[in-house]
Amino acid sequence: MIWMENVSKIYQQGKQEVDAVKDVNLHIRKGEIFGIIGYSGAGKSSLLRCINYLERPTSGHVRIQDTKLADLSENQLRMMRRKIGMIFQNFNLLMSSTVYQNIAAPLVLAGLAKQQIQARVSELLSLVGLEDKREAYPAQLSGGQKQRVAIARALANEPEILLCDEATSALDPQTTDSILDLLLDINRSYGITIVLITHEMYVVKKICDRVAVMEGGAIVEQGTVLELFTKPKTETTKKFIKSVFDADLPQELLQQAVDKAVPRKLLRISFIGETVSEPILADLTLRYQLRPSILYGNITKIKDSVFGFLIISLPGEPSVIQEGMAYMEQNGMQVEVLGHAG
Amino acid sequence: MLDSFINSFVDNYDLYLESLGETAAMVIYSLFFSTIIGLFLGVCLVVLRPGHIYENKVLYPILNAVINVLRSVPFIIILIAIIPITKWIVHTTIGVKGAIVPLVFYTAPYIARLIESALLEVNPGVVEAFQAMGASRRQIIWKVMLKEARPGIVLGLTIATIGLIGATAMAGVLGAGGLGDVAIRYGYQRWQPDVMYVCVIILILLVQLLQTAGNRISKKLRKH
Ligand SMILES: Nc1ncnc2c1ncn2[C@@H]1O[C@H](COP(=O)(O)OP(=O)(O)OP(=O)(O)O)[C@@H](O)[C@H]1O
Ligand SMILES: [Mg+2]
Repeated sequence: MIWMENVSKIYQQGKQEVDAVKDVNLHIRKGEIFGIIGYSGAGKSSLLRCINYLERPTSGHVRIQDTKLADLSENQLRMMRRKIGMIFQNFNLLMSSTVYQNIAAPLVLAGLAKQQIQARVSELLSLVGLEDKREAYPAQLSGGQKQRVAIARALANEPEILLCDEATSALDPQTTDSILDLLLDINRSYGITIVLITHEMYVVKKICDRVAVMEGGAIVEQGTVLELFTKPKTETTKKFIKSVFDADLPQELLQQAVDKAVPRKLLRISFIGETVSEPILADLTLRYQLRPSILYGNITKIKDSVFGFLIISLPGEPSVIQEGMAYMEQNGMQVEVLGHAG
Repeated sequence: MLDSFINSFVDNYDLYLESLGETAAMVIYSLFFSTIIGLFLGVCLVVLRPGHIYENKVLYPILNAVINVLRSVPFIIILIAIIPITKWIVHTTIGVKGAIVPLVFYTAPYIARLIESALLEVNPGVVEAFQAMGASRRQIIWKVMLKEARPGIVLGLTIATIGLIGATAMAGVLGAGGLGDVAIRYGYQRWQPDVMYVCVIILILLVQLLQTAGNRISKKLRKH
């Protein structure tokens, strides 16, 4: 759907050059929700704005389906943009226009007949649940409602792609959830490809299928959200994950556990999805007479899946422990040795 | 005191009415032309600047400087300095017609600045949102910038109109007539202060009326 090849963006600021985006390669697939996460100043907005050429890349190519954006004339680019919706952190609505007029704006620009516009806006208003706010002005709406208006406006021309620049960053957690649910709903019912940028791992975990981590203008890691959670490679990714999911046993607890005299191993077992319902620990006892004690654990929902881990202390003969570990791995768990004693 | 005002007003009723008419004519005509020119220049001052939709690194500084130069010349000097231009455009330098050209020279750059600052108040994010939805640059100027800036533009035009009324008094000296002219001629030259006071009171009422109306309209347009 969207291909970015060696995209770089350099801003000229007086005599200084700012490398906002560095040699980014991305392929975003049709119908997926793709997240780009990074700290402030990482270059997320710049990258997103290259997708609809609000910002022309200094070098590299952007392709949408079979169209190379660099080949388009100004008019062709405008036509292309009608098929790419965009929403923003600050909503960016016309303050002097009603909700109706705001949602109708792209349709008016496209030159649709009044009756068609009315019908389409009514549809959109009910999609975002704002039928009763049709004649209200943005100043009379809450942040969440404003973002709903912005979403309706972005969807007016039935786009195939929706770009979201920190769409929930100005909202409280509850409203964030409702907007994310709406985006997920739109993605599922219309198959719209969504690219969203955020600095909150929570957003990624809740609705994204795949994610790229951005740092200093470059993409340092990308993959499915589950891959990132289960096998984070960079420190940045680990920090982001930690913000929603603490996977580390406090150091002194770890030390205490290792200091015990009886021979034992300290293990982290991670599990995804189905395996959660299997009585794995009970099986360790029944089959291998191992008696694990649980030191720490956490579990989280990642979009439609579940990811969790336990840190257990497992006393016993090393060979038996080895068998137990193999058994757990056979059952789809990831087992990692954190330390041993005795 | 009050009696003498009322007497003066009744005695010279025709004089006041006529000069009010002249003031109104000068203000309306010059406001009309200044607004057209000022709106155009004001929009240019915004869209030509770096990073904006018609970014132009040559025209913008030139326009900016020209407007600053015009804005720094006192009206009384414009009045005299551009006499040849006035003659060339309206073939006279006296009367209401002769006053309009210098008034426009004086007011248009002022309105350009007022429009510029009203347009700069518009959230640039909205412009970006409309670019992202495929709006043309012309649509962005009309449907986003000018539309969103309406409350500020109305207030700016109100201020400009009031300034214009003040300037007409000076133009009056060149034989354009108007309330200011009457006030000076009768009050200063013939020493009839009551005529001057009546003129001033009419001017005060006029300004009050305009400012109140401007505020009301602006407030009605402002939805936030
Ligand atoms: N128009 C511009 N001119 C010059 N420098 C810019 C411009 N836009 C962004 N930058 C710089 O480029 C870098 C990346 O900015 P960008 O807005 O893309 O980051 P971001 O990841 O979206 O950050 P945030 O989370 O704060 O929005 C920053 O150093 C910023 O100062
Ligand atoms: Mg940003």
